[in-house]
Amino acid sequence: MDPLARNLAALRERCPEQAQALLRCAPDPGVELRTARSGALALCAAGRLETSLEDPQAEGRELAAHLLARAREAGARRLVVLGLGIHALEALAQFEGELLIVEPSAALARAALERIDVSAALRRCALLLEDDPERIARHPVFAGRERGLLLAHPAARRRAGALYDALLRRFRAGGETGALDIAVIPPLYGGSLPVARACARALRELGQRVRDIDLEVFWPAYQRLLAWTADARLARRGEQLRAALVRLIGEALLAAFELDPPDLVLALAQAPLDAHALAGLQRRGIARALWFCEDFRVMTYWPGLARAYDLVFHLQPGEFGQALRDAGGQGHPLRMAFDPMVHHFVSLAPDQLARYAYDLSFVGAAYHNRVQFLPALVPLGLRIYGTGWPPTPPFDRCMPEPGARQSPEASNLIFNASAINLNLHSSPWVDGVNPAGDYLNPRTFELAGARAFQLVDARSDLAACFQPGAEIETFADLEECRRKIRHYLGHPDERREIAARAQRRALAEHTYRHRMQEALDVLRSGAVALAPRRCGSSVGAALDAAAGEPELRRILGRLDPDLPLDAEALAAAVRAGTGPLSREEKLLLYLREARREVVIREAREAA
Amino acid sequence: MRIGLLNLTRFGDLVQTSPLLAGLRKRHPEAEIHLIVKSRFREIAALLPGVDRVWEIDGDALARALADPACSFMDGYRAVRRIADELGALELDVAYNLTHSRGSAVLMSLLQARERVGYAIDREGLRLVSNPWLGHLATLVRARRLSRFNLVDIYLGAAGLAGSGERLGVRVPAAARAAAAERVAEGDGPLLAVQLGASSDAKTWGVAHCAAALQALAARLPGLRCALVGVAEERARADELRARCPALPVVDLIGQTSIAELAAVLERCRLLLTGDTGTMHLAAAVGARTCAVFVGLGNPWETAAYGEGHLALSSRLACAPCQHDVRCGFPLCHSDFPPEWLGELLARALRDQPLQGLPALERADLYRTRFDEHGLLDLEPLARRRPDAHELLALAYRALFVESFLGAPARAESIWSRARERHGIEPREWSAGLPADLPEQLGELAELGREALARTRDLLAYGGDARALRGGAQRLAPLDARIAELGTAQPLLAPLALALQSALENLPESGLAELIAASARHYQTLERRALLLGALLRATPGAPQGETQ
Repeated sequence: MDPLARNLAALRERCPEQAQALLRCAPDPGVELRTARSGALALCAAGRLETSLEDPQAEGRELAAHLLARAREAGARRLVVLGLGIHALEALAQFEGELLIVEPSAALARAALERIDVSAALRRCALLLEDDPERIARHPVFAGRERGLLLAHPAARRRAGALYDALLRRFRAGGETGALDIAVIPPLYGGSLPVARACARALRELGQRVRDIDLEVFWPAYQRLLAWTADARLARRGEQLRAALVRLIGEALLAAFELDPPDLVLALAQAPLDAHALAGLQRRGIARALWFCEDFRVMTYWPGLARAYDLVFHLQPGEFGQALRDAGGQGHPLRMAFDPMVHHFVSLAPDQLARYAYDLSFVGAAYHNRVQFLPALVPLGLRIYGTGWPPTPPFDRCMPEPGARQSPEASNLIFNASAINLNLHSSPWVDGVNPAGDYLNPRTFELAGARAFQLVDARSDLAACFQPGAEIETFADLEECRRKIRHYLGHPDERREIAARAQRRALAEHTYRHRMQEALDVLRSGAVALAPRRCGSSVGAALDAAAGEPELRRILGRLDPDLPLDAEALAAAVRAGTGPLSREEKLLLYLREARREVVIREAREAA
Repeated sequence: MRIGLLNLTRFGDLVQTSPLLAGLRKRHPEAEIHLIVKSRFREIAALLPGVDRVWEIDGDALARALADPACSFMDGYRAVRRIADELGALELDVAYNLTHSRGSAVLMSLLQARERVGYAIDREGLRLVSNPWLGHLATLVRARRLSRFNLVDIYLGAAGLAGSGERLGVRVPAAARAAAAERVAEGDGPLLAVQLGASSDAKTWGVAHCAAALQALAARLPGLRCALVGVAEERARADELRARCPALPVVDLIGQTSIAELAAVLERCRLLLTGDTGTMHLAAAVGARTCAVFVGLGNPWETAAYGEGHLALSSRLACAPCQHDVRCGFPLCHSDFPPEWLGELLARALRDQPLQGLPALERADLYRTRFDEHGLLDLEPLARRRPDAHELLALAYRALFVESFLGAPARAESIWSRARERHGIEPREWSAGLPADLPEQLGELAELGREALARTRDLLAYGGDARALRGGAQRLAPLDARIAELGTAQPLLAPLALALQSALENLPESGLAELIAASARHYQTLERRALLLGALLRATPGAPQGETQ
């Protein structure tokens, strides 16, 4: 019997419809098998090898061992793997729980199964030849309720990255997934700082346990280092000193997490975490995610971080997602958003109107394309707020508060007071509107959230968030911008209607709470190996388990059921009571102390 | 009568519990004595004499209930309840907690006991240390340089047995002796046991230093034999030592002995070279002499081997011993004991030769253990030198606390006499070595104590008037704050402030009049202690006499 017949026979036992699909599949000339140096066969699809040409079988075994270790770490009883991984299959089939192999290319599967006998493995796992995420999501293993993990072979992630992202959004790790303990790491200063605060607030609203990490105290030190090494001859020294400060901050954070590590560190762009700190977090079993809310073409420091984080949320799907994968990282697109606590509609007081009410306002820093574009709008009554603008004509005539950085709260007043708010995404390379602009800046969502009318430069991602013409107005060049300014200055009712529709959409889809919910869904899908000890049980689960213990349930009932049930939760439950301690409270306190002693001992031993 | 001892500490501390067990057994020959220990240390608990039943608590298993998703929270909760039920059913007459941890305090509150001694929690979960000796232990961890009582004396003191003459002891089974005889045969040369590791890295003397000292010893003592003892985790240290001293005749017992066999091996040795370890206490318990190098966290005043004639070395660095919350990145104290000097010391000790005449070390002290006139362990310095300020004050503190704990009056003359004997320093010379503003600070402390005493007595006049009482208590607060501030600003005065703070925090649950009277006594004690210390510094005898607490 040839390998295909043996494989089909095995497949018919567990997945007869997949055996049919395999037989129906026409050979693809783009898929070929090459002989590796070890003599084994290596698959090649669309000119890209699935494995190297050295020893594909050894690589397969190694890869399977790695995937199985991740499944063990996550306590998974259910494992979904994207990609056939023909040489890893036999070892992977040793997984003790339910295993589903998803191969989006039936042709690739056919080419492999024709030549390589994996019938023994096929009897122990489920194979699904499918590229539609909805149909994959309906598979009983994928949709199972036991604790699970979704992983992908690196080669499959390369050739089917979009499918993998789609599956991540649909996969649920299941099991007892209580609230996560998350440390949001802000930058020392800059635009991502309010974003960090908004993320922390949103995560807290979503029932997560969030730690307030305030690093602003280090900003003066960073500035001082910049000042002391401002001379060009000290540039290298300055870099070294700033790196040393970042190292110190990273060490301090590791120390802060020593005894009570969070489940997850969510860093915002330019957070002061260097590779050393990120490796330290990994050693302590803390998952690491970065929200890289920057333009990857402009801020090019990301390749060094791609692999240092378990997951990188970013603004630019497509090209950047692929670039991250090529750099060995794992990415997931996550758009910017707004914080309704900061950006919202306000009725302005007379003094605020006197200060901020202009026909046309722009809030933002003086990037190259803005400096080139905006002077032409000065005759239309433009007012500019923000830093870096030259104090020379024509800018000096249109800056009500020259050089001042506007706080988010002040920006909200400006947005609300202005008839038209101009939003021009920054670019260091073009002179005006970036014709290849893709992602949306926070300002787009903030203006919408404030029910402020905005004219924004056309971006490829815009239509997915707001309906142009109905919820938002755009311009592709200076002429269109001028024309629309004149039109809308004369049509206040249209402005109000568009702004109101934009706000409705923004509140419904584009708050940080929405983004953080999406991030949590992705994190819980198994994209990141969250240590099971931390999300293994929740107060709610303990309440269920304590069904016959009314006093114990009364004590635990003082806590949010979504909180993880750990030593601190027990202490908080006892503290929340009043009067003399009950016997049950003492028992819980003792359990808590037993845990603390072990945590402290383990931390000392690790150190 | 049923007596319970809760000791959830480690190997060495359990050996150090043996005198207390022996004393309790003598005092109550018919009593049932229950010892509650961590499961990990069941082996040593089984060797302690005088115990009727050992109860084990597996803290690690309980901790897993909260950390490991494979374990259910309810399993952990039920396990704790089972422990509490079993121990609660003992209905103890008295329970001693010899553990300084909050977990043990909670467990104490779960025991059914007519009397609880030591660290516990009150009805609302607040810390309560009911015994002055154990309270002192809890307090002096924050002023370790001035700590002057051995842990064994503190344990004994907790039961009113300090100075009773009880000594360390463990039962060594005959089978263990036979096994030890097989492993370590009788030989011509002296047998030195060497323990390389300790319970924590912070107390472990470097292998390189130890190897250098052993080589210096071997050069002086032909025929020397070494028995390397320790647990399997110390294998790497042992291998390193053997690599550094390839010519040293070694019996390698690392990881090969049970605790009982280790005790039997130590019985056969003439001396144990060790750090501050459980093995040191075990050696002392079986009558072997020890020479211990205290580094890092180790403090010979607190944990030197409890017996006559043991040797203890410790650094004179200003930071020694480490505070418990310090993780030292540069353990300079490890190199304070020159190998040649140590080789000579060990050679003399193994030959039973006098130790006098060894040159004084620049940065370290050599002590020999002895018992003082109260039967408490003392460290006798074997080289005389000008004392540091804290050493003079510590002499006085020991006398002051002995006065409180045992009722033996603290007199300036006897403290001066002790300083003269130990350090060759005359009363008039005391002030020269101390901070210039210390007398003034002591004067202020005495004044604060006097003022607080007066304001406390005023409270009695308020009767049941809650508002007036609250006002009166508020008037005391600034005095308490200033006392605490002086104790923090001047570390030499920390024991006075800490002792007062601890005493006020641990007032017994009783009626208002009793509370006020107890508080008044503590302020009075502060005043007296400050006055006596001031008098010592001024070289003027005749300070207030008599027991105050």
